[in-house]
Amino acid sequence: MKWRILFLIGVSCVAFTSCNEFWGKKPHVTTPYVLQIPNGFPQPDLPADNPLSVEGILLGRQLFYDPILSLDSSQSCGSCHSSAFGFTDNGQVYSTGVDGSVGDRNSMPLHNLAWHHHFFWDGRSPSLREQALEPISNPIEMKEDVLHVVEKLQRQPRYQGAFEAAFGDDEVTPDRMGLALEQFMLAILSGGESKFDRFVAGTETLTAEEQLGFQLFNGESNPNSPTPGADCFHCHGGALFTNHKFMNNGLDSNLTDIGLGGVTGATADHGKFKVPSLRNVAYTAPYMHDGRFQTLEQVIEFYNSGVMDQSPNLDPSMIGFIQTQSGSQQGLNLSLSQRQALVAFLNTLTDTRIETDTLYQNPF
Amino acid sequence: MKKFVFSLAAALLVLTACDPDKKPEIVRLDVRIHPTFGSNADVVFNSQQLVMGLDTVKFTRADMIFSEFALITEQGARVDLRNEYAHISLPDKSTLSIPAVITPGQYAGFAFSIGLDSATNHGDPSIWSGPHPLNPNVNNLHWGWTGGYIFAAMEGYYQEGGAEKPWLYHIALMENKMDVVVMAPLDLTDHKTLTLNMDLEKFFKAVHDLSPVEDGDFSHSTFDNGLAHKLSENLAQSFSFESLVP
Repeated sequence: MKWRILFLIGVSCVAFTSCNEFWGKKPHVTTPYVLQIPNGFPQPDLPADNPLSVEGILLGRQLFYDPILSLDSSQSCGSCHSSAFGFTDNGQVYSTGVDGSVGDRNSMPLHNLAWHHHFFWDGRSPSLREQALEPISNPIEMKEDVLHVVEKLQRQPRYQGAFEAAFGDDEVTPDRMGLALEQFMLAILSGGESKFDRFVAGTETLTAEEQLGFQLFNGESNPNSPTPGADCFHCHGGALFTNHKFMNNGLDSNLTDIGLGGVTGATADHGKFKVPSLRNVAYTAPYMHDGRFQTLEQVIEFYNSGVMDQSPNLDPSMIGFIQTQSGSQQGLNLSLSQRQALVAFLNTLTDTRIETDTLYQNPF
Repeated sequence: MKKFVFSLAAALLVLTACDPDKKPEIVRLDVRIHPTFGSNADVVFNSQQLVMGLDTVKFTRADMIFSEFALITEQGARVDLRNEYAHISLPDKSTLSIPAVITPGQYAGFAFSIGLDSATNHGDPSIWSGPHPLNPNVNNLHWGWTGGYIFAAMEGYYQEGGAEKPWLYHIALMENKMDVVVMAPLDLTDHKTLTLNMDLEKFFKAVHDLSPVEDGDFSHSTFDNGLAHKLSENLAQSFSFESLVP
C-alpha cells in the first residue's frame, strides 16, 4: 500500500512538471507570415519544417545585414548581395572577402528563392539553410567559424530576444541561424509589379519595341519558321524566367570552371551552371557565372553569334543557337533592331520593389 | 452464461478480423518505367553511346507527362482512373503511384496518355500545388507565356562526321497527344508494381524510321515538316509489359 501511494505521488509530480501551463510557461507562438505569391507564379513547395513567421524573417534579416557574421565584423551577407542591385554585388565581377581575397564566381541575385531546389552557381547546396551558412566559413568570403559567430551572437542582448521570439528560447545555434536566414531569403520576392507584370495583368501596354522583344524572347529559332525567334524561353521561360536547371550555354570551348561537374564528379556535368532568373536582370550586371559580360547588349550578342558549338556538354536546348542559318552564318542571326528590342523587353522585368520594400532593407 | 456469450462474441470478432483470405477492397498500383534500348538491357543516360543502324545516339533527357490512366478489363472495357497525373523524368523519376481506387481483380491491360486533355493543357498552371506533377516548377515542361505543356521532352547527342552534336525533340500540341495501351494479364488482387519496358530505340524506329542526321535534329512541334507527329507515333509504341510483382 505504501509503495502504491509513493508511486502515485511520483507519477503526479512528473505529470505536473511536464506541464508548462502549471508553471505558467505558455507554448511558443509565432506570427505566421503568408508569402504573397504574385499572379501567374506557380505554387512554391516551401520547407514544411521551417514555416515562415514574422519573427523568423525579422531575425533572418538582422543576421543577413549584420557584419558580426564575418571574421573582422566588416562584412555581412548584404555586403555582396545589395538590394539596390537586385541582391547582387554592386556591379562587381567578383566579390572581395574580408581579407582581400577575390572570389571566382559572380554574386548571384537573391529573389524568388522559394521556387529553387539547389543553390549556388554549381548547385552544391541542396537547401537555402545550408547555403546561408557557407559564406560565413568560406575562406575567401567572411572567413569566420560559425561556432564563433554563435558565441558572438549570444553576447548580443538584441539577439537573445530575437531568437526567443523566433524559436521560443534564446539559444543560438548554427541550425537556427540557417533557418532564420532561410526564412528571410524565402520572403524576398520579385514579381507582380514590373512593367511586364502589369502588361500581363492588362493594366499597362508595352511599346512596339518591347512587344517585338517579347515576341522574339518567346519565339523559336527555326529556319523553317516565318518569324524570327531568339529562343530565350526554353531556359528562361515561365513566370519565374528560369527553368532552375543546370546547363552549359556554350560560353567556352575549353572549360576553366567545370561548375556542376565539380560537385557531382560526373564528366557529363562539366560546364553546367545554374540558369539564373531574368527578373530584375537590369539590376544584376555583370552577367554569367564569371561576370564576363558587362551589358545586356553583350549577352545578347553572345547568344546571337558567339555560342561555342564545341563546348563540352553544350545543352541540347542550345541547338537553335548553333545551327547554320542563311547560308554560312551561324547563331540566331538577329538584326541590331531585334537585339535592341530584346534589351527593351528585358528592361520591362525590372521590379523596383526589390530596392524599396522595407522588409528587404538593412534594419541597422 | 453471460461470460460464455461474451467470450464467444469476442472470439468471432477476432476470427473475422483475421481472415487470411480476405481480399482488400481497393488496391494500389505502382508503375515503373524501365528504359532500355534495343538489346541493351539498361540505358545509362548522359554517357552511353547507343548504336542504331548507321546512327549513334546518346540520351540526356526523357521527360514526360502521363495522364488518363486506365485499366482494361478482360472483357475489353476501360476502367478510368481519373484525375491522376505523373511527371516521369528518366532515369531518376521513373516510378509513379496511382492512389486512385482500384477494384481488386484480374485485368487484361493498362493504358495511359502521354500528354493532357485540352482543358488541362491550356488551363492556368499556377493552380497546382507545390509538389504537384503539373506544377511548372516541378516538371519544367510548361511553355510559359505561349501556353500549354510539352508532353514529352527527349534530348541527347548524336555523332556526325566524328563530332558530337545535340538533338532535341519537344513533343507538344493536342494533335501530338499520345495514347499508350499495354496489353498483358494483370492480377491486381493486391498492391503490385507494374514495370513497363520503354524501348528508347523505338522512339526513332517503331513506326517511322527516323534519324537525327537524315530527318532533322530538332523539333519544337511547329514548322518541322511533321517530325514531331512522327516521333509521337513512335513514342506511343515504345512501351511493353515487363513484369508485375507484389
